[in-house]
Amino acid sequence: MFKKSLIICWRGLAEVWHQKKLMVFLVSYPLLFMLIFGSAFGGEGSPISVDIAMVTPSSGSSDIAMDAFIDTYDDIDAVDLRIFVDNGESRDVQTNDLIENEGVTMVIFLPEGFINYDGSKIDLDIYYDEAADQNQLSVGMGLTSSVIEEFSSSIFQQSLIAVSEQGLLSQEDLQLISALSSPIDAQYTPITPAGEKDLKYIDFLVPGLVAMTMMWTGVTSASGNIVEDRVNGIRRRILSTPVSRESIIIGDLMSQTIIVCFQILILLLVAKFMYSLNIVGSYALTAIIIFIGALSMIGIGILISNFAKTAEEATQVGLLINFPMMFLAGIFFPLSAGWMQSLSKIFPLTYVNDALRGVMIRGYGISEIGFELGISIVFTLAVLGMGIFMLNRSEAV
Amino acid sequence: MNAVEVKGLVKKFDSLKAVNEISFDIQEGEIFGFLGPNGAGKSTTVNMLTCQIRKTSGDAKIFGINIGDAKKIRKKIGIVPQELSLNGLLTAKQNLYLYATLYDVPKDEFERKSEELLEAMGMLKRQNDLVKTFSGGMKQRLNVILGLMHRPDILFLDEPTTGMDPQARRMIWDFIRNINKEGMTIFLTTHYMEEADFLCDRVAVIDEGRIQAIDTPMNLKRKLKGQDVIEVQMEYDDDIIADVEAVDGVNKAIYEKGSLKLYIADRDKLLLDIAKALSERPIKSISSVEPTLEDVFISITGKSLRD
Repeated sequence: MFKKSLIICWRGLAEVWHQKKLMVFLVSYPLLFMLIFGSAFGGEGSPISVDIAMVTPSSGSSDIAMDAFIDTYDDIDAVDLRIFVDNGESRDVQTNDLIENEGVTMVIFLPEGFINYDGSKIDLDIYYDEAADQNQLSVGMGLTSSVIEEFSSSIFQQSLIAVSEQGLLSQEDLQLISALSSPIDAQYTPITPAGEKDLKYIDFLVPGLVAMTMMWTGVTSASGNIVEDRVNGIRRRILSTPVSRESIIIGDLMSQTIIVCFQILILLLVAKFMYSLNIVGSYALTAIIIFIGALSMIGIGILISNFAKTAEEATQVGLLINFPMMFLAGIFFPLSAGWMQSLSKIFPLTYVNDALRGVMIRGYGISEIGFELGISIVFTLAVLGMGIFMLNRSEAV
Repeated sequence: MNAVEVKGLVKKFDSLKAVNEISFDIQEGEIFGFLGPNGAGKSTTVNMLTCQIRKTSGDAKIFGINIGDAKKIRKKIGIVPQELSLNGLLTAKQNLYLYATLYDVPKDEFERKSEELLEAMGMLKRQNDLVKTFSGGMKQRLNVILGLMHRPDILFLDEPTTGMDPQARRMIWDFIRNINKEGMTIFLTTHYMEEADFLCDRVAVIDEGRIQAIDTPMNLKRKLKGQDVIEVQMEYDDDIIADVEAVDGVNKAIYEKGSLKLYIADRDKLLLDIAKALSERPIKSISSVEPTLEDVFISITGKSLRD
């Protein structure tokens, strides 16, 4: 019985082995994706930086506060700061000029006197390029508002001290006002996931590529192969020999799974040695998830094969299922809209992808991804069962 | 024991009766042929007997085993399907290995048998080439030997030589005769008269799902002996068939390939009447011919067999 499964499996592998072009394609397309995405978004240093111009008053006057304000910006890694002197033109014209010629995203016009002792507020004019990259803009805006907040608070503190030194406030009043002025003291502590080192873009990319690979190869090649065998009569001929259906199915599943896992292995090896991929969690658990994920995608392929008359038709149906699944499973982009997140829950790849990310990036163990893994297993059994049941019914003698 | 026993076998596809209550026996060691045009129900019968489709009603046994018992039957029979179902992306030898394993042939037996069969088909040299690179004739030869790896007791061949050139066809014929001599029972379907005539010990003439006659090719032809076949070489015209069929004693007339073929009761008595009926028409020659299986088929079914 098992010997016959092996021969069916061997046949599937030998057929791929004899198609060198197909082999090259199967191995290289995940790598190609890695190359494209890796170079497009990877890069060194901090992922996003923003160009900001500061325009100082033409009078050339400055005070300690203004210098401190500028220094605060300059100390931020994500900011590429350049200083210009107001040339007297309108601020719109100057801003446009700086955006076009200097490539800046934000322009901050500093006021004549940075600290007013007459009780009036400081005017800080901030202009920004509406058409600029949204990520850069939001980083720039966010940084600016936090710098202003911090800076206001420190000016306030210094003023309080100056006032109290003149004996106008008691020590208690001073503490009360100080506490009220900034009631929240937030502390930011960066945490690197359990394992080691800091994570790179590639570490986030590869789990998605693994999920994508198992989906494309699993769904399209499983359905295509079965339908092609049916069209050219091979399936019928094999069924006419003394071999059980179970042996045929097991053999086909084995060969397909081996092909998908082999592709993924190559992908992981290249990621490891060329991009120094960092898998934080257990390798064994990663392998188990890949195995189950591959089986579930092949199950979908078998299911499709029941509805397709030709291999081309099977490919079309596969595409129809794969495209929404690829994007909605959150392989490349995290999902934002609420209804889309609910929709993504119906795709098995979502759970496989979540489990993979959990283990590979966050170093989760079996208890933390138990739910996702459980759903994946249930789904795998369901599609395989359904696909095989339908296949048996349509081919029964 | 009979190799095959069929009683009242029926196959319906929706309302169409593809096979309509056929009954026949095949003796062990016999080459038995189903002769009929496309769509006569030949393949449907083979598919039922080889457990590839389910019968609608009736009974059939292969070596005493009911065809409902597919598991047992599959081990005993070899099948050569009409369509070339080969794994083009495997080599010839790998194709043989696949089916040998599926039929539980031991490894050393496979080595011996595959070499023997490939040699017999003259393709030993190309055993390690991918099948997709083979010519049509080679594929057909491989298709035949794929059903033989496990030394079946009976081999079913569904139109094994359709579309082959005469040389390749002759090779398959000799091959089938040889394995039959070694004791294998053969059931083949064909729509080639010469094939049935050359190979078969007995022939069943099948048309529209029914068996019209079963006998040895010789006896079938002899039954025609009550009739004579004469061939008249002459030009065709629209009234010719009607004119000669009007003559009492002429059973059937057809015009084919430049000559008029007449199936008649008694040559000597009718020749003059026929000559009269064809009056005024220039006749190149008249000859009496040995009846062929084709003539038998025409006289039984009233139609001619064509490729």
